[in-house]
Amino acid sequence: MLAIKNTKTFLLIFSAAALSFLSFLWSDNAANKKFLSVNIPRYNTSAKTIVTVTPAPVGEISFGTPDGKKTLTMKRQSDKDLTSYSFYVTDEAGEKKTIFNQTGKSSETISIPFNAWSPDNNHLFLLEETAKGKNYLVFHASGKPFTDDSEYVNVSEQFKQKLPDLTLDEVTGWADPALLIVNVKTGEGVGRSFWFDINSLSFLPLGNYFK
Amino acid sequence: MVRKKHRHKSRKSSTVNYIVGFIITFILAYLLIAFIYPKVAALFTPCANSISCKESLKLKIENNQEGIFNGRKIIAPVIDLAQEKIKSNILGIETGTGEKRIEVDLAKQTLYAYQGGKLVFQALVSTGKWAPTPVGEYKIWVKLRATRMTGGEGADYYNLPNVPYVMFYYNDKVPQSAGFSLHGAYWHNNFGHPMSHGCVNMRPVDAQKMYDWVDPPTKDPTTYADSKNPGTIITIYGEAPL
Repeated sequence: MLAIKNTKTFLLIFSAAALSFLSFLWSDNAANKKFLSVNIPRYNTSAKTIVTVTPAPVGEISFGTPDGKKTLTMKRQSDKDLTSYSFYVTDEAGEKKTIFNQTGKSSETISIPFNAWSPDNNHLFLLEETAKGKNYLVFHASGKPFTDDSEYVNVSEQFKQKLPDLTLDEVTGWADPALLIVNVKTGEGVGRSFWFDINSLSFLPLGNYFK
Repeated sequence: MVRKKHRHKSRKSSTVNYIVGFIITFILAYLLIAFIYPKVAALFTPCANSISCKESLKLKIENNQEGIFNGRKIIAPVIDLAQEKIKSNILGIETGTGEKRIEVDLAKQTLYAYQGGKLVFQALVSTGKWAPTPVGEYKIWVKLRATRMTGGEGADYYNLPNVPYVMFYYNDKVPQSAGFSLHGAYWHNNFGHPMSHGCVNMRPVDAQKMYDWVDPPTKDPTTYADSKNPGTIITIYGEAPL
């Protein structure tokens, strides 16, 4: 009789404790979800646009390095069907170095991606959009040519030569001072990431997809 | 007849006793678990920087040092405290008065800063890639001008001196000792995409703005929050891109 009573008491305490633990976990999770779902502001404006564009005269955009020590300026002038682009870098001392000039069809554009600057401020990349597709162009911030006397390295052209079976999706930024992160799509539409080493001009496959 | 009635009454009161006992035990157990659970959960929260862990919670300015990230060497920025001054118009705009708070949207990889309910600053960030950035509401408890962060293993090993503008935060589930923070990142420039081991990485120029703006107001290279100068609240929410 006593054993039955003890068993009943034990079962009562155990079931009450178990139920209270489960209730606590459920209410804790529910509270977090409720908290995180309210009063979150929604903005239509792209964060990239707000953060990176410095107020400037029409046709001119400036974009600073992540540490604020150098500035890349793009000047754009349109005349009927042609648009001229001019890029230069200004350092802290105010010294200007011309990086790149190009005149082309107005339907083809050049822009400065948000993560354009390498983390050591020695390189930058631009995005050129043409009817044939996107070109990611890497420049020395000093304005010096690359070793084969070309003004820039065209990552898209390198990609087509070395990884013809894949589709370049986007160059998102820099993994380190010499490595660009290149997102691609396989033939099955699966996303993958590579590093592009601007020194060796090689693509290194990554285990992670940097979406 | 009387015996049957007595037995019936006795069984009824025994059942009531068990029900009352169950309810009381349930309430007491719930209160005990609500008190103990956060403390136990905090013990199992991994450090943001798996090797340096608590060492990262101290000010460390180490100039002319090389760091390692992604298996490659990287030069850390030089920090000269004597040259630095806190600007009065920190964000470049009039922020007014009112409570300051920060929100980090993991899905958009964006940080928003508010003062008095008004958006005063926003910037792309990089949150956890190799380990998730935990969601929740936190408070800043200390600001360090710089520290060293070390963690990972193998190809993922990193050792980074002079990590700038570090704002450590905590709550009851993520303790101070876990070392989660907002901070500048000089080793990559891929903001808008997860890149970190759990912390919220910012461009150094953006981290500096936040460091100078958040509470507690910066007094020294190490500034602790206290009851008179509590830390700014940070809310982290959403799901980062996988």
